[in-house]
Amino acid sequence: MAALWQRLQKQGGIELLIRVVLLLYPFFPVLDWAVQSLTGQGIRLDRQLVNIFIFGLLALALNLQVGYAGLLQLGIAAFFAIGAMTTGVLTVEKYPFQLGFWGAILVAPVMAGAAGLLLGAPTLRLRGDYLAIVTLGFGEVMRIVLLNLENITDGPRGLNPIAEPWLPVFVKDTIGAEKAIYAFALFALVAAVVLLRLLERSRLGRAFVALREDELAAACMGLDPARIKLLAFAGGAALAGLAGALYATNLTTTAEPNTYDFNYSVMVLCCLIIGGLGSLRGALMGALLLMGFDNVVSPLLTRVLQKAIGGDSNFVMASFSNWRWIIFGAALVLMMRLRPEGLWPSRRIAKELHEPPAEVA
Amino acid sequence: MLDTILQQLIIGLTNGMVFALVALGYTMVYGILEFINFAHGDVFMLTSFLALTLVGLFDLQGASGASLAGGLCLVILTCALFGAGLNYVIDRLVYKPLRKAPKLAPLVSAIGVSFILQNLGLFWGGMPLKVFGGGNQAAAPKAFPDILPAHNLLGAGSGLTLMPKDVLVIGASLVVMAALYGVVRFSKLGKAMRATAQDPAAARLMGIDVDQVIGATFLVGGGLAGFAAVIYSLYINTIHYQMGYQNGLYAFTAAVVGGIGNIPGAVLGGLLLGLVRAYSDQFIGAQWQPAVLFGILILILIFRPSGLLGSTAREKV
Amino acid sequence: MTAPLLEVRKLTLKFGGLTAVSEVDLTVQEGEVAAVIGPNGAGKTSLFNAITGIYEPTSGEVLLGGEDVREPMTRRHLVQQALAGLLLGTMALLATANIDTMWLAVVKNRAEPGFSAGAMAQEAVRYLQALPRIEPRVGRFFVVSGDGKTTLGTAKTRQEALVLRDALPPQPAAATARWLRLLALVVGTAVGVAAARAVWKRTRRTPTSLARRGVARTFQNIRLFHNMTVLENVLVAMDRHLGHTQPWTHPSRRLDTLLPLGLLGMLLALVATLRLGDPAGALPAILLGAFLLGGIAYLVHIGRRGAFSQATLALEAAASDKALELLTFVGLAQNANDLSRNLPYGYQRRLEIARALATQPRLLLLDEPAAGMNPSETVALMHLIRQIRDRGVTVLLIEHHMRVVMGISDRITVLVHGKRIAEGTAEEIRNNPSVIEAYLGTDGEH
Repeated sequence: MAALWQRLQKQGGIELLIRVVLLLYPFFPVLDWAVQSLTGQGIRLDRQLVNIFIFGLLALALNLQVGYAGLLQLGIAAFFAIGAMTTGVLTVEKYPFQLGFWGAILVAPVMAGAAGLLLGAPTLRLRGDYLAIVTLGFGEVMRIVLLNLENITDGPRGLNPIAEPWLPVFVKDTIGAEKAIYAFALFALVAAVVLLRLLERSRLGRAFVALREDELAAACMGLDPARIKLLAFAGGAALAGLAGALYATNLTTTAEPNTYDFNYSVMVLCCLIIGGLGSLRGALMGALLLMGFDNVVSPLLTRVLQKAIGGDSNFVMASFSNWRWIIFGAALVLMMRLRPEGLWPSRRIAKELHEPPAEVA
Repeated sequence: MLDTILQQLIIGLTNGMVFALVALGYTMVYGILEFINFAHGDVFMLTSFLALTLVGLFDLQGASGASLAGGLCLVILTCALFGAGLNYVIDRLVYKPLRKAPKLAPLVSAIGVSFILQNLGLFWGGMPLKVFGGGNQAAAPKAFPDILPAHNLLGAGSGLTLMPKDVLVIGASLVVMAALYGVVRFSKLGKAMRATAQDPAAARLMGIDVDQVIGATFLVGGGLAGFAAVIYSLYINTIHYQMGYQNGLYAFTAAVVGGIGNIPGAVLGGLLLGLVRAYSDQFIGAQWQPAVLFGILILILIFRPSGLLGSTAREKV
Repeated sequence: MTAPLLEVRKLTLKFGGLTAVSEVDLTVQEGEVAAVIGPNGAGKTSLFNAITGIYEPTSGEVLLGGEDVREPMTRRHLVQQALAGLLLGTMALLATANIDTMWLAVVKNRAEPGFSAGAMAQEAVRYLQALPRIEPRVGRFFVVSGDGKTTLGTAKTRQEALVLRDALPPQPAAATARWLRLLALVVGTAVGVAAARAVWKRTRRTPTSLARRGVARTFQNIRLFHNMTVLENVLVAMDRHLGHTQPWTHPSRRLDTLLPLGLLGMLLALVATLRLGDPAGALPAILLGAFLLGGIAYLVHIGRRGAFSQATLALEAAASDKALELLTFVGLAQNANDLSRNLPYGYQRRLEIARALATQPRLLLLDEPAAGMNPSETVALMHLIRQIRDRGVTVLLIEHHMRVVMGISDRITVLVHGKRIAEGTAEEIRNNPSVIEAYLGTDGEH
């Protein structure tokens, strides 16, 4: 299996496929529009696809923290939630701020980034694996806070409706708000990819590598690990905040706070591990795979399963969506065992993972 | 007011004992392997499902006297063995091949295992058994029958309530902890554990089978978690397939507060956290419980990163 | 007389019950080559670690050029601590005052005409003072006492409620609530300041700060960045000296492609808006058009130009030149693009030296540089160390190779069991009876 995969990759088949898929994205709305005008009924892929972009953005944000800076962060959903909630508070009708989407999209990353800064500043200097517990706890606390501050966040109902973004009349009349969100989300994703690519090749990118390889040696060479990590942590948090703002706008509600739980964070981590830590392409493909599993494969298999069992749909194992955590968990375990660099690895990280630094005496 | 404070003291101590038992498993594994065994909390959770199943199987709900005591002992023993075995198997299957891998690998694997176990817990709850309410609602919390006599030991008129189960939790936990302390302190295995925790490479050179020691650590940790699961279920009377994650989070926090890798520290941290939780539930509100505990974790990490009893670790350069 | 470059005063280092270094004094003058020798386990590397900020000494001082190496408290730190205090104080205050109901009184249902930020701030202050407040609930406006316990009246509109509230006789302010809030503010601030101070105290002496003060080192067990090339290893160490560039990326700031497309976006948006008869939306449309089209242009531009501006590329090129010069100096120029993990052992040691030199140190600490080298490599190393000294870098080394130590050191310090037992020139050390007894007598020459 692995050999087959490698051969495919070497021959560039997968590469080609990825490129085709990526290149197709801008044209889905056109396709949608064409189908709609021909048959009178759209296929309405945009909303689903926007979710993929948003998930991709989240994966990229986590990639900046886990892949580049080597910080195991298990609470990315909290920053996502901050972005969504900021957007909600700043745009819904019942609050006096009403900045609209374009204002909120600027403020949301700032708020999430600030939260990252505040959480990271005292804790990033600590032993690495403490951060896992701190971020895990933060994620849980953020969920609880959002649930409990009912007057502010509307608790389990979530703030809604979030108005669609303001658009110039000619845009609104021609393509409509939904497709505009699609375009903007795609734009944000591409921008994030390009900027992160730059980051990889910059001075800071080099410092990230040095830090991952040997933090102490890097510090002795005058790099400031705390500062570099904080930069990555806050940057990732801000990007997650941006994703949150898009999510809330696309959904027109800030959703139930329980959406942003630990499972969500782990799902994003899953994307990264499957796609490949530190690899931009990997993060995006991982997002695509996971969203595809959740929205296409899982319902399909459920139907098959139900038919096979016949009738008793109450039985817990009969619904395939109840299997997803076994599958994701097994994916994490197997990937770490068999292919820790992921399916679409970054060359550098693959090397680091396969040849750990010599045992220090 | 005094009664309230004393009552919360009892609640805090009993809760703290359970935290401490789970925290011990985290701290022992961390002390030796330097990694957070995220799956530990879910071993705890899964064992509590076993306990409920056994209670149903033995029909302990109506039992009393000797049959209750015997049945309970059997349940505790089976659950401790199950927890130990499960933890051991996980280590052998998942963590052992990753001993030489970078730190991220076992951590991520542990998260994966945690989710697998959680999902298994969901399935277990969906089994068509009477104790699971027929299994129609797999995801719902399961009621754990109150099999211990529920009368107040301090007399019916007292403002304080001290039930047999409180005494059982505290007493049994103390016995187990004392036994653990004795093993770690005085037995050959315990010495090997401490040596391995300090320096695995040197321990290996001294002829200690490090792998065996690690296995034993997982066995002991799993056994403690299994024991804690029974105690917890008897005490709280509700189990849920997601409870491993939250209790695990608290227990790990307790381990960090006490000083990770430090066995008395884990007990101290557990008790402290139990008390803080009880008083914050009383005076701040139960819905803010995670926030309060998280605040304490952050403060400890800022003011005393090595925990209350931990010593500053010497980095190997 | 000027202060010595490095002065270690009564430095003690304890780990639990173990004393690794005990009251050691050490002085290194500018421009010399000094050495620390001693049998294995004498505490030499621990001493190095304490000097380079890896360990915090249990007691004693390290001075560099007469100055304590610990970072002094600067105004920046004070501001940081004050901010941390303010932040935590505010959080404690808002938690105590219950921000959730405060939101009711201050923000909720204010989407009416006449709303202003000033009014909101006023309401917030009133709320925090525990004065009567207005809470909109289920379509009505409740006037509630400061402690939130009693309802003083209801009204249909906010205006009416305001009138109702102002007509109330002066309420005995909820004194307890007010004191509690003040207490929370004070305690929160104190904890915040203390927390920031605790973090600051721990970071006064770090490897980073020592490196930035001009102390560089190599490691006994080589710690290169194994998966980076030889050149990259050196470039990482030069990071701080890469000119006045920011650490993040430098896409071109040239506006040549960005500006026209941005302008085009503006123009299109303007024309379209006006043609469709929506003059009010013209300005936002222009901004949006400029933002999106300009952004696309920007991305295309940096994608095409290989991401970095001429200035950055020039800086990187200059840095590479400098790194190559250093590699030539240690004799590794021909290996510049090899992965450092693939270098032979002796080369790795020299790369560590080049990397340390790239930080432009005043003082270079070498931890057993000759370990594992053959005789001819050792001779080359001695030559290299002299050359380093001639570049104006003071050298302090730990070494077991007596030929190296005796051959190049101006001054030698002998450590045994964490204590300094002798100090002097090579000649003096060779003839010191206690050294011979404690060290040479038992260990001999390697």
